[in-house]
Amino acid sequence: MRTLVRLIVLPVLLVAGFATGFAWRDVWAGRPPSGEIFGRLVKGEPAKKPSPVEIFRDNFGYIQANFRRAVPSTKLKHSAMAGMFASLGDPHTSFLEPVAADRLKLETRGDFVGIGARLAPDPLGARIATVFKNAPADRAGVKSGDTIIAVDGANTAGMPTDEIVSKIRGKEATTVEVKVVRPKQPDPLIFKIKRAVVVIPTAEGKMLEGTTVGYVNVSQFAETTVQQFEQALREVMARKPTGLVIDMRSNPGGLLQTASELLGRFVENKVVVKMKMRGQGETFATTPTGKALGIKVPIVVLINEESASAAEIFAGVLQDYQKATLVGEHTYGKASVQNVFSVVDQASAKITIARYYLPSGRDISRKVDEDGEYLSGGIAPDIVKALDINADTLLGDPKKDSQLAKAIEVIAGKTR
Amino acid sequence: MANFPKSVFPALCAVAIAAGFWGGHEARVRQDTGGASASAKSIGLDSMIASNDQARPGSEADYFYQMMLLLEREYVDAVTDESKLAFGAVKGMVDTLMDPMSQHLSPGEFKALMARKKGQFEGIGVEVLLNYDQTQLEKLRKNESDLDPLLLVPDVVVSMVAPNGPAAKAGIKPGDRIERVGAKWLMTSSALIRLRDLQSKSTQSRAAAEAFAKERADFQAKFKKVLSPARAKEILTTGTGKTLEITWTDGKASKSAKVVTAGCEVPAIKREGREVALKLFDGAAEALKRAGTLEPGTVIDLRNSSQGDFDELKSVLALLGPSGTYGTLKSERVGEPRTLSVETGAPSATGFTLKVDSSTTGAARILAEALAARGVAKLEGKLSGEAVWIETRSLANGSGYTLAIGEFVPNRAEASK
Repeated sequence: MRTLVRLIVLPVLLVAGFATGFAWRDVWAGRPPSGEIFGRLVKGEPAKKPSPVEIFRDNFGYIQANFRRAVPSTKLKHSAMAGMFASLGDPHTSFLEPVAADRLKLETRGDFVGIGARLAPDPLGARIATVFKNAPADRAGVKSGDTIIAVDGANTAGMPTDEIVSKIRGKEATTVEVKVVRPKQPDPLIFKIKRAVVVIPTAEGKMLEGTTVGYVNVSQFAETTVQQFEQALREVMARKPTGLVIDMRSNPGGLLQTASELLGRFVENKVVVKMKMRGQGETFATTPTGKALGIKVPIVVLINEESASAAEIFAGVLQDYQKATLVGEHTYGKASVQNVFSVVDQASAKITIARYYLPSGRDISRKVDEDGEYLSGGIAPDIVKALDINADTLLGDPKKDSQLAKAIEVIAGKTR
Repeated sequence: MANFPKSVFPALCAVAIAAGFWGGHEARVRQDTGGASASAKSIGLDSMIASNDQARPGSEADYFYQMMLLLEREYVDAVTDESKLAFGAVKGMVDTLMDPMSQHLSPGEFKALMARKKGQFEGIGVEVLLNYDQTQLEKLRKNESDLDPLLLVPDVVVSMVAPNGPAAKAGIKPGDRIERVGAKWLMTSSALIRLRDLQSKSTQSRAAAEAFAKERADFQAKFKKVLSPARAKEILTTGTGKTLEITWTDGKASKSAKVVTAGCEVPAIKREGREVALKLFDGAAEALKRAGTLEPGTVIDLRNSSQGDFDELKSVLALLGPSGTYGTLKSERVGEPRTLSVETGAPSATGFTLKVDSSTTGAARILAEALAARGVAKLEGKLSGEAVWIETRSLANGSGYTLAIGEFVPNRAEASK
């Protein structure tokens, strides 16, 4: 009897093992196993629906064999991958061909030799979004709002921003000639700038000239930002300001841990971000305790469309806990974490692996239309104010920065 | 019956599970990748599988499979529809060809294309092409350094206008370039280049600089919201009942009009006296047969005739011309070029006049060249551009694409026989 049971148990286990193995890929991919594929296996007949690999192979072969021009198979393969990644509809998940992958590595390395300015795309070349204080560009007189139209005599119209950046960067102590147009100034200006290692100060504080308002600018969320922010904030608060402006404009984000630490100066032991990862459910990040500075004066956080990721979390959390008023323009709307995977042939796969939400549960992720134009997403400011760009726009100077002027007005309104 | 020692049985159970699991997993991979049998399937009409760099599609399929698994494992959301990934990959491949005749079509666009092949138009009643600067594309392909990236923005050009459709009523003609659809403008190479030229002059004088500054401000205001060429194409060729503000140019002057999208039908043949306007739609050959024998001297109007149906072209050719080989399809592929031939043609085909011009493109253009080279017809008017043979492929999700197979080179040797 026992032998009989055992003889039955073995094939049953074998079949169960087979079924699990067969369905494993679905379980792993986080979807219910498909009955159709089992059916195909059992009946052994060709499926009504071709498998994804068959669709790919069929069309790859057809295009390569029949297109009127010879297309290198690696190029065709890589563009297929780019198309596959794009089909997910997530702008941050992309397949990077070997060349693009190289560029990404270079740009995320941190320390670099350049002129110390952040560039934004412009049809003529690149617009200068920020000039870092005391960096070579700043010392030479380049201002934010200038538009680069030529680098070393070569026109930059229509050139991708990345390419302009790589033209401007170079060996330390060499000179680069940058031609810019400045609003309201008909003649282009030429600057000869000596390249140097640019250390980006990530948090700086000061009292705003002619006011009693303190100002702290945070340009990104690096590891060192926590200490720099703490110091800047303490210095400013020691001057007993009537209000505080924290500038998160054009801050592309960085480490969530840093955002959480910075927020700890305002809210204690509170959830700052909920993170959703594959197969891990929801995780929370909370601010540390015992680090709050007990700031009682009104706080305004400045934001714009280039405030992204950790910067949006920072602004959104202070808004959710009603610790600050947000002034400026809606933020970018990047609420996800990416990981870059290396692929055998030097290409890279950049994949969104987690999404995060504000403590109130709101999803800030950017939605775009078919043409990539902004539809919704990001954090909306409490008070909308666009930056007036003109000849002497200078961020951080209340007389030349319309958004900052608005922030001061808001603070004055609250303290009156 | 065997009697297992106590310690062996659990081990056997473990082996059974493991073997089952492994077997099941292997079977799944074989199912997913189509196993070995699918890779031997021949592809292409004339079964010409030729690859210039000896790559077997198998290795690319494996790469695809690995990337698909990576996405499924790592992407934040569960991938519920795997075939969507494959269709995305096909779109990626077609888009990279940057060929005006090789275009990926969304399900809506593909349906509209299939309907157009029967003469049923939607949208504003046009066929449009995305025209790339071919010299610049050649430079891109060869990795040449003097490539001008500004010239890689394609123009959206009308290749055919349904004679009774909304676009025709608004005055849009074949060859016109679309500049604006709705609130959004299409970025053009020429706009970018004009701006660049102004920029280089801007240092010469104060007036030039001011002109440049003004132009630049206008430019930025105009192109704050741009429409992608592919999207413009979709809007213009699909749907009904939508009012669109459209701006177009014939190269000399721009015109604007409000156009309401609507369905309209274009007959394959329209006979007026001794003149027949022919469009190579599905059923054109049948309609020609029904119209009776075309006496010598008949004028066939092939103007305003775009893509059409290339299978129909063969049937029409057999009706108008004698049997024989009409020409070859020139391409960069290795191997025997494909030929265009007719097995049983018209016994006494002679003396047609074909009215052609730059709006005679697609299948109509090949028909004109084929008949003219065989001496069956003489051309009235001037053809321009390439005569490209196009194939259409559908995908299981309703989308599809067109692929340029080769350039038609008429067989003049036969004509002299």
